[in-house]
Formats: sequence, C-alpha cells, structure tokens
Amino acid sequence: MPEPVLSVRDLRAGYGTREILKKVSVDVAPGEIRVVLGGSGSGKSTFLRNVLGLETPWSGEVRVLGENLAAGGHAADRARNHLGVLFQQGALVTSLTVGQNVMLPLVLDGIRPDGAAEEIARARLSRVRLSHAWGLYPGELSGGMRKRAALARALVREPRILFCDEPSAGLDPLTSKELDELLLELRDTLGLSIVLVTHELDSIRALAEKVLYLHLGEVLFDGPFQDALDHGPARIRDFFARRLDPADAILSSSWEILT
Amino acid sequence: MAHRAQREDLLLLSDRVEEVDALAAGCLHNARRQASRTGRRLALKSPTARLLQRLDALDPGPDAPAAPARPGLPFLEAMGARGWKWARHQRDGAVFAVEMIRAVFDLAGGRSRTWPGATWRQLHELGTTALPVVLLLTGLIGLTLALLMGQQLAEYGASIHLATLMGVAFTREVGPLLTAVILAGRSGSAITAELASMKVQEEIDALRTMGAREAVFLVAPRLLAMMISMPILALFASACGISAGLLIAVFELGLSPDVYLQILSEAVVAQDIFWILVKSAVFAFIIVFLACRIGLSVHGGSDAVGRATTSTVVAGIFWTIIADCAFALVLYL
Ligand SMILES: Nc1ncnc2c1ncn2[C@@H]1O[C@H](COP(=O)(O)OP(=O)(O)O)[C@@H](O)[C@H]1O
Ligand SMILES: [Mg+2]
Repeated sequence: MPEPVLSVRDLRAGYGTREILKKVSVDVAPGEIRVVLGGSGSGKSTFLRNVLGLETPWSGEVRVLGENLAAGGHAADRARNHLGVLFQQGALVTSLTVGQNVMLPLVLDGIRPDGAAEEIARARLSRVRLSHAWGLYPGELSGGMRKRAALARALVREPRILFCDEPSAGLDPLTSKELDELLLELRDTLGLSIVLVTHELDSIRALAEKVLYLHLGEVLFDGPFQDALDHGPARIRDFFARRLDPADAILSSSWEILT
Repeated sequence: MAHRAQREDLLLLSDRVEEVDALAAGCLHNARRQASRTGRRLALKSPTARLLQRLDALDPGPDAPAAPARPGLPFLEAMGARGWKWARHQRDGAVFAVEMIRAVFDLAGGRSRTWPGATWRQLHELGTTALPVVLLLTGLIGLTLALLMGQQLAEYGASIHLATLMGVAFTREVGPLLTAVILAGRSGSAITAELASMKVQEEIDALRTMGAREAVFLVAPRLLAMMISMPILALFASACGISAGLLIAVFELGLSPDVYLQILSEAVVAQDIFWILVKSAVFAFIIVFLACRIGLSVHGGSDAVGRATTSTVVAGIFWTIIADCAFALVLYL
C-alpha cells in the first residue's frame, strides 16, 4: 500500500472537559475518496476540525505527508499547505470578489494579486465552470455557485487532500449531483484525496470508496463501502438499510434519524 | 406535521422549519427522549443545521458524567469559580491586546499578510465616512453649549470669556470624547457586526486553514485605520465646536471675531492639541480592542451577532468615559 497522505493515530479530542472523539485512527491513501459517516452529533465535524488544526487535539497524532502537524515548525506549516477545505456554506470572504477570494491563498503566501496569481485563479475558476463570476461578490451568487467558488479557492494551492463537511447541505438534488461529479472529476484529474462528510445517500453511492463510520466518538467501521453494506456491524447495515430500503422510502436520504 | 410510519417511528416533516425557539427545541428533545425510552426513533426530514445544532445543545451527551454531589462550602466554591473565571477572562484580554499590537508590527514587517489595501479601505469606511456626522453633532453641541454659557457670562459682563470656555471644553474634553462616543456607536458596532458574522459563517475558520492570522488579516487594518483617523476626526470636532462658539459670540453676544480668536489663542496651548491626539489614539485602541474581541468571540447563529453588536456599543462608550476620566485626573488634577 502506498504511503498514506493523511494518517491519524489515536486522536482524542473534545470541547472543554467533554470528550467527543475517543482514539480515532484512520489512514487515507493518495487519490482515495473517504466518506465519514455517522449519526448527528457523532463527532464528524469535530474530527475534521481537529485534523485541520482548527481545534487542538487532546492527544494523538495527525500526519500529513509524513509530517506531524502538532509538532509545529516550518515542516508542519508546509504540510498544512497541502490541505484544502470546502466549508459547508463556502465561507467565502464577503468583502472580496470571487476572483479575489480565489487568489486569497496565494496572496497570503506573499504573491501579489495580479499577473501570475490572477492567471492561476482564473484557471481554477474555469475548472469549476465559474469563469463568468470573476468580478461578482459572494452575496450575488447562488448556493451552488458559492460552493464551486469555494472549491476553486480550496484548490488554488494545489492541495493533496481536500476536506468537505457536508458539501451538499442546502443544495437541491441536481446541484448536489453536479457537485459530486465535480469532486470525482477533480480526484481523477488532479489525483486528490478527498475526505468528505455527508448524509446524502446519493452522494455516498456516487463517491464512497472507503467509509469511516463514527459512533459516539469511536470508529465503528473503517473499510470499503461494499464491505460495510455486506458485513459491517449491525448498526451500519441498519443505517444504510433505513436509507436504501425501498419499503422505507419515506425515510429517504434526506431524513436525519436521531438515536 | 407529525405522522406515523411503520415500525412506530415518529416522523417530523421539518424540512420547512427555518428557525426553532427554545420551547420548540425542548419539545423535540423530549419527544426524542420519550421515543428512545420506548424503543422508537424520532426522524426529522431534511433538518437544517440550525435545528440539529439546537437539539445537540440540549443533549447532555452520551457520556456526560452526572454532576457529582460536591461536599464542602458551596458559597466559597462558587466565589472561587467566579473569581477564577474572571481572572482567566482578564488574562485572555491582555493576551488579545498584546496580539493586536504584535499583529500591527508583523503586518508592517511583512511577516504576515492581509489583503493589499485593506488598511486604506478601513480608513475610508471607519474614518472618512464618519466625518459628516462628527462635524454635525459637535457643531450642534457647540452651538448649544455656547448659547447657554454665553447667556450666563453676559449677565456678569464676562461674555469675552466664552472663547476661553469653549476652547478649554472642546480641546480638553468634548471634542475627543464626543468623537469617541460617536465612533464607538458607528465604527465599533460595524466592526463587531462584520467580524461576528464572519465568525458565524465560518469565514474565520476558512481564513485560518489558509494560514491567515485573524489578528493580522482583520484586526490590524482596523486598528491602524481607527488610530489614524480618530485623532484627526477629534481635531476637526474640536475646531468645529469652537467655530460654533464663534458664531454665538458674534451673532448673539455681539463680540468681534478678532477678539474671540485672540482670547482663544491665549486659552488653547499646543499641549492641548497634543493631548487631543494622544487621548483619541487611546480611545481608538479601546474601541477596536472591544469591538474585535467581542466580535471574534461570538458563537452560535445570527441572533448572537446582534447581541454582540449591542455589547460593543455599551462597553465601548463605558470604557471610553472611564479612560477619559483617568486622563483628566492625571493631566489636570
Ligand atoms: N464548539 C462546540 N462546543 C461544545 N460542544 C460542541 C461544539 N461543537 C460541537 N459540539 C458537540 O460535539 C458533539 C459532536 O458534534 P459534531 O462533531 O458537530 O457532530 P457531527 O458533525 O457528527 O454532527 C455534539 O454533541 C456537539 O453538541
Ligand atoms: Mg457536522
């Protein structure tokens, strides 16, 4: 097996004194799409935030391309530059235009927002089919456009791993399908690894190669999607059954089951 | 809005629900507990993130330990906990203030970056556009004060000293203070509202993952802009108030403009101008410190943004006046 781009070992994390994640470990291979599943409140977002360094893990190790992020220093900073993030609502900076938003990561690296930076940003925007939105402000975009612009921004530093927290939340099924297709295309052309949290059954079916199922802060299953369906723990088969079972159509993918 | 499917699960068509208040969230939470007790489940249709968040907030969590019965002195313990919390808050404030100052130097030294021209933009938004309202209000206050004081002075035949009073009042007190109060309301609230809504919409998180420091990217340009523009605005404000006094002196008290200006130049010294600038810079620091700290510590939904904005205005005016009194004690006592 090739060396993983992301390797998480025994990650423990929480808020205040409340423990949310208990010893989560996972490896993500280059070019792999890893879907993080679990009921609401099972710690999926907390997992992403700790891996991204938005929260400080209590203990454990997060390695990106072999560098331990918690160790700090230049090596860790460089490794962090290999992470791209697509936030739920896009999280574009409202006071900057779409073009400026896409150039922002380069500007933060000390490149002037003209010439080369503009060329790179325009190329990324056309990759997400949003060239025409260069001069618009985020407030003037639809939800789907906003996410595609955010995707362009996440890709501008040519990351090795892309993280997405419920990218299809708030999108209509068609737009959501387009976004899934775009993610697949990006993986295929850029060789990105993608770590994605989603509830949408259609997305899971379209994208999931390997899944990581979290339950109460622990890894309940880690492996290929098909294995999870065939002989995963009962809870996971139940999770999908409720979403796949045609007799239970009313509990379609858009239902959130509170356990 | 609820109906039953097979398996006796309780289904809620929540896809049209945009906002839930505490009562509704409580009802849902209860329904969920009851359902789980009877081995059934509660399912929500396309719930919004906000709805789930509110439900989560009510969930004590699977492993929340029951609060242990604490022996000992509850009163002392409560006081201690409160004192500890207060001390931590003060320490965090001091850390934030130091970080703000460091951020300005890091920005100037090119060690960390913001969007090019951000400071100019803030200078315009927080400073230039405030000029009309500052001039209007100080002018009106100047007219009112001059009218009232002028009538009193005229009774004693001392109308000539209106220039002294207006000069001293507006350079030492009214000009800088009124400017600070106006900007605490106008620019302070604008800063908090902007940062808080960025926080709520995860823009700040996104900036962090891109390697930006919010102290440099967001705070430093606003701090520089306010510390540059507020002293200048305060000078304008003082001049405007004093000119309003001149109008009253000439048209109400019948003094000649030359005399007013002559007396004024004897009352106002260069030091006064210096202190206008220093005081205003300090007020600007206080306002930006509070506005940014309150804005960046918001969490929750958009309702939190409104509350944060209000507390910035209140705290900004409060601490500006405290600082102003401190200056008066040190300088003039
Ligand atoms: N900022 C926070 N402070 C305190 N608790 C939080 C915070 N964010 C999430 N939680 C709690 O952590 C748990 C896991 O949340 P989260 O990771 O967002 O779950 P998921 O994304 O799987 O729905 C929830 O019980 C939630 O209430
Ligand atoms: Mg989540």
